[in-house]
Amino acid sequence: MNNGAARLLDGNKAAAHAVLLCRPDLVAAYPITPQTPLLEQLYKFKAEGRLVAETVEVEGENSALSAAMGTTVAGGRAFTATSSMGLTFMYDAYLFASGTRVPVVMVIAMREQTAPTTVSCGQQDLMMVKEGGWIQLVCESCQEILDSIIVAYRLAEDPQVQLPVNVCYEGYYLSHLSEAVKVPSQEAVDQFLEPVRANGNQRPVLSTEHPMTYGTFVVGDLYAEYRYKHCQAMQRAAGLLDSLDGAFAGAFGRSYGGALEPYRADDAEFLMVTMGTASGTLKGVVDQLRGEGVAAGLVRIRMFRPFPRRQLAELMRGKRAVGVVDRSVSFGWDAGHLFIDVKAAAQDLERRIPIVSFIGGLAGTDLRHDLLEGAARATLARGRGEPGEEVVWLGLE
Amino acid sequence: MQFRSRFEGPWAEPDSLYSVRSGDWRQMRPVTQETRCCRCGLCYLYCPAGCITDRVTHFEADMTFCKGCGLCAYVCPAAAIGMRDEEQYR
Repeated sequence: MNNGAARLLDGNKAAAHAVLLCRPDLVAAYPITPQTPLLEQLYKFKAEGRLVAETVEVEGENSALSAAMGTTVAGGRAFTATSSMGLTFMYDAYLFASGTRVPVVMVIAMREQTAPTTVSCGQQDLMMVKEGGWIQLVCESCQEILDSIIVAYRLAEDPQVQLPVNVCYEGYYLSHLSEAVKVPSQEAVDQFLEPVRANGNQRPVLSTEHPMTYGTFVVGDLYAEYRYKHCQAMQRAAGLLDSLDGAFAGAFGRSYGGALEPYRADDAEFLMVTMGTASGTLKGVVDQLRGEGVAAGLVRIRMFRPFPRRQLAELMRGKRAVGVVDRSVSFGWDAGHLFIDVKAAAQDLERRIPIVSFIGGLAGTDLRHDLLEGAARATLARGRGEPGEEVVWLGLE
Repeated sequence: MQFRSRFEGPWAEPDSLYSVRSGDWRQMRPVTQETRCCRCGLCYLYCPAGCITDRVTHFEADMTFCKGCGLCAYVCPAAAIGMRDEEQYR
């Protein structure tokens, strides 16, 4: 097994190493905070002669994703990355990529969405595109960023999936935070990606020998047919991620649990649910409460789209309450986005339980241990029958 | 489930940009006088549905996809293409 030599890398550099290992044919991206150092590292690799990929200095994000799509429909492998307003600037290309079934891999170094203007961390940018038909993975650590990008290509390019994948990580907390990251060998990654390299020649691609049309004009029932196929492919992707998690563990010795990661959840009295870096702090809170004899548990959502609703419902079954921590705001619901999904998934339970939305960490505010401990204790209290608010803004009095 | 398209995504055979039978929309049909065709290929280049085929003696639109827009007749320098009322062919 080759689980890689440890290096000190921040999230952007970890992502760049993953991209290098996946041997893309093209990198096209436009710099935007906090994703910029990822591009700097990729261009450094190229200057050193290590990254053998065409690079395109595009004039904006819409062109970046369009160039990546062009490479991909011609049978190549492409990478792009963005954040926040760059993501919304590429929105029509974003929808085109998923609807046309173009397996591009794109990093979102997550950031708040203007306005109010800021460049700080948040998950609002991801939430702006959550219904865009992409597969979306959310990472907790720099190691997971590197590993997820490698898995993302295997997932995206699988003939049963053929969908674009976002690998998302929080700006600064991961993009600029350094951790020990194991970088696998080129041979090991080549071997892991071999199945899609072979299939890559079989998926329909643009070529002069076998001409075909991409991006056709579609109306009526045929449109519904393509939407249906897209939804089915999303569900197949959910199953494939779970099996790839095992394949990845076999090859590299690391496993993340597939679509979601339960932490001390099985015998828990109540659950906290979140995505991204707040999970680490919440694991500490769970351990602390367990030390006090309180059966706390956590579920970290890794695959946000497609949403692992059935697995989550299974984990919520029998619990007395669920608290959901969101780093984003749904204006229409006056709640967090993940909260809405968790609440919908809870409809599959036989018994109604209190579900509480905690909004915090907006614009880079620390989701501190004390804040999350308060959230967990409030959820526990709701589960034990005490009254309380459905939506709690952490840090706002 | 019975699928109409053999493709997983909105892709299509190369004979048309459309994966709908846009010929159903046609109210006027292009008819070419083979002897007048000067083989310039302008109709082939201009056809927005990309449905015109080179028949060596002349160019011909595929009626499955030709929506009867008349651009081919408009650009033809030899006036070889005339637009006829589709009713005559029903």
